[in-house]
Amino acid sequence: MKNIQEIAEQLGKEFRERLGDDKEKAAFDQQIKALVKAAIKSDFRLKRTIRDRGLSQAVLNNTIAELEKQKDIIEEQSRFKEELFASISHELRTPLHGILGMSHLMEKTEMCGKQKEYTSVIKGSADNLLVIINDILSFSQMNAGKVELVELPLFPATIKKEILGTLVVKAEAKNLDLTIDLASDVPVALMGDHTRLYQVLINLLNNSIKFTERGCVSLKVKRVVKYENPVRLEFEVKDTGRGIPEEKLNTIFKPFSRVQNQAGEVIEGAGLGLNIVKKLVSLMNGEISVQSEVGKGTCFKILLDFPLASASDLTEVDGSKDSIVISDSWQQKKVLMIEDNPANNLYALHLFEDWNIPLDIAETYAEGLRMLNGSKYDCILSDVKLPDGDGIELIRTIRSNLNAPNYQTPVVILTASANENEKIITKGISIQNYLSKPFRPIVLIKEMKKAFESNSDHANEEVASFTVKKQNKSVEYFASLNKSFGANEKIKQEMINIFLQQIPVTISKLDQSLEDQDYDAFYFEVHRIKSTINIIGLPHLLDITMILEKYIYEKSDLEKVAPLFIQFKEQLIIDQEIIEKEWDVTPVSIN
Amino acid sequence: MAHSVAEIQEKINNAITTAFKPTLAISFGSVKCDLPAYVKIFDDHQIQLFGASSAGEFINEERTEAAIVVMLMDMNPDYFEIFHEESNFAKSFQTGNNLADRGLAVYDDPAFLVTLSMSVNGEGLISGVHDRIPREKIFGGMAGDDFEMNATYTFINNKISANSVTGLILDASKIDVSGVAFSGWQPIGAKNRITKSENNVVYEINNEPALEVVKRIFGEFYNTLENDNLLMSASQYPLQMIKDGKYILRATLQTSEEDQSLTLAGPVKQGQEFRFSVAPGFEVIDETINNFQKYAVEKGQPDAVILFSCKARHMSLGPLVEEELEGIHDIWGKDMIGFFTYGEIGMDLDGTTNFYNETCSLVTLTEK
Repeated sequence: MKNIQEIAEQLGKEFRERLGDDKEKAAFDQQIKALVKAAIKSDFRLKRTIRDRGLSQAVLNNTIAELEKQKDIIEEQSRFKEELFASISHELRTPLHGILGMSHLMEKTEMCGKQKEYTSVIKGSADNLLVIINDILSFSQMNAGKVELVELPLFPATIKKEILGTLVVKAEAKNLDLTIDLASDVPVALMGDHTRLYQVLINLLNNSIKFTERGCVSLKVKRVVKYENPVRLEFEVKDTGRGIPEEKLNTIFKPFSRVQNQAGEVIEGAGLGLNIVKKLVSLMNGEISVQSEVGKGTCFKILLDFPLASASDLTEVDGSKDSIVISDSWQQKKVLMIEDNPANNLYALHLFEDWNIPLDIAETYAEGLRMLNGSKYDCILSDVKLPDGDGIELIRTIRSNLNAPNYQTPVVILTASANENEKIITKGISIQNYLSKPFRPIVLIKEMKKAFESNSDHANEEVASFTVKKQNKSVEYFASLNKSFGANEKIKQEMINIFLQQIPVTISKLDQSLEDQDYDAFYFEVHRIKSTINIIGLPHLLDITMILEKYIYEKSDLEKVAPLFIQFKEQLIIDQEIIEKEWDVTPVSIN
Repeated sequence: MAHSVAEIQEKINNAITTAFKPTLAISFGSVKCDLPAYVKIFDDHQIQLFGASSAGEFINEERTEAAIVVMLMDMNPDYFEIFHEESNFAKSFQTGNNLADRGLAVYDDPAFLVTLSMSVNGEGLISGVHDRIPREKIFGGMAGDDFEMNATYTFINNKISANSVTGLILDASKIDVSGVAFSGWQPIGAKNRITKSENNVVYEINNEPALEVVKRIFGEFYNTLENDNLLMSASQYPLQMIKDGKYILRATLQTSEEDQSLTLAGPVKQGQEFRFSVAPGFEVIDETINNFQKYAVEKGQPDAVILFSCKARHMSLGPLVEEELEGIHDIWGKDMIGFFTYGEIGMDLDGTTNFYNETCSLVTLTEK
């Protein structure tokens, strides 16, 4: 700036000399001074403008850098959180698996009344804990956008059965009436995510039981519009509990939203249940609404769409859900389980003994490696976290040696971690599947079947089924009748008539044998009518019949036979209406 | 205005006539002048002195440096009293209490003009006054030292101190004391958090050394314009904090390469969130003048105008600060005195009194 001033003064000097009196010179000086001042200001303005522009860019760059840094931190925290959840999951689920497995086995032993009661409490508490752990994991996974729905055949009756099995004890402990009503027009088989639908309903019902001191808790499922595909179902969960104040209705779906009981204490739980419900319903493209009146109760309504299961859908999951196919040839197979938890090992030994499949157990990485190098197995079940090493690494080791006897043996990873991380770290090695502990026996045996069949050249060999083998069937009515008898309407009509005549007699016999608790007789009748139902082609009724047959045969779920038999009769009424529409028959009454 | 004690003494002598016998001198002066000698010249004229060292001074629309400015007033001595107390950061609240107590002792409705050394906590001082007088009327400025950052002084007759508060207590039932303060600084960049601090010294921002953060954000722009030292530039990027729902600016008075700290012109709390801020464009000059014009419409014609304008503001507006001074002076055309401060006490547009930085705090005195 001095330059401007100097230049101005220098230039001014020449002109100043030419001026006459002092007055003129003073005026000139004033003008020069004002000029210099204006130039200085302009110069400053220019510099400030340039600086401000650069400064804005610098701050913007820094803000972007900071945001990127924050993003990295958040991603790191997110990774840490997932690892933490995975670790917590493992640490909690492993002992929980032991508790659930042992209590399941204990229930099958001779026990006095008190022991049965205590066992039931242990099992109930472990189930509760599992719900909370699963809630936390679901919440974490949903927030990370990692929950994906699977679309598989879904049986509302099975969900009903599972819910009742889980909640009846809880409801009874509070003297509450727990009812689940599937409307007669609810299809037997739909396509959807069984686990997630169960999770939604169990969460709502669990809540209702928690907040209801007297009265009842009910689930009603009905079809909103008949004969539509996809099927829109309305699930109504209603209770006679304390209700939710209007001002809190907006917040109940928020995470960690918990309410207090009448004593002002916070009710147990993580406060995530309803948030998970809302997210899952939204994930299923459904709607959820709630109405409540303080002192009278609460009613949640959920609307969800499910496509009807097609014949091919059901064929794909042949032997799924509650049916197990076990071949005599499996007695020749050898399975190695590498697991350090003694409770889990005992449970597995019991299951494999039941299935007549030889099972070896290794409790450490070193022992596992030694046994795998020593003999050939048909399937390996391995835990991930072993006391002296990593189960995945163990598998990687045997897979890396072409001459190892188990180089190609199918491997099922048993993990207590319910998230996907462990799948990622096994990348590059061939794994048949991952089972999240605690697993159900049916799931495990299915994996055995898959492993054994992949090893065998006789995958389609005749198997001796000691339980129900699900048949290929169609949700289309009379498909098998038409296939068997083609255009011979007369024979088909006769078959229908035989069926309609046989039914009242069968129902009567089934009623009687159930009343007498003569399960052999009941099994005989069910088995007999099943083949007729199969020939006629009544898919939904066949589903129920097969489950009934399984329960009776295994004698493990006898308490579920009576309610399922009621469902059988309800389905029969529906099927009869369909038969009457299609065939020229005289209606037959069913008691 | 003068650049030496002799010159100012001569000007004072000339100003005093039989018709004009001043009783009060409001004065601000550069530490480059002989202030200890200066404070001794007023006794002879029975004038009571209220003042402080400055970082640039102005009278009416004329800005100067390394000079002394003084406004002589013939105010009835019953309407005012001078207060002076040695103080420091820790004692600030107590000094505020003492000032208020003295005010209440002499007047039913006291109002205050204050100057304070930079070793005093401006917020604490106001809180101390507020503690005694909830609807306090207090205005003023933190003394400067031409940005030497050694010591700043407040003074009265025969006394000048680097750790003190000087107050001009006014009888508000006789003299209307009003004012308004305006900043215009704009927040910029993301939110930050003070993670380590003590009183008015910030050691860490976002868990990083404070000075390192400032340098990273503003980088080369520290050394632009006429400011070739880091300290001067740092003061232009004050920390804008939220206090009681309002933004309060805290300018950097000092930086330390040794411990990477920033010394602010006011206390801060550890954990406090803030955003850095930058000087507004030159439009702020018009905005400031407009705001004061609105205030003028309500207040009418004052007898004197006193202006406490932040030094950092001066640095940001550069030579254009004179346009602001000129515009403000033109509002009333009355005598105006002021200085460039290290902190301002004033009332914002919402009527809240606070200790500010980067602000232009205007006070009008009107005899009722």
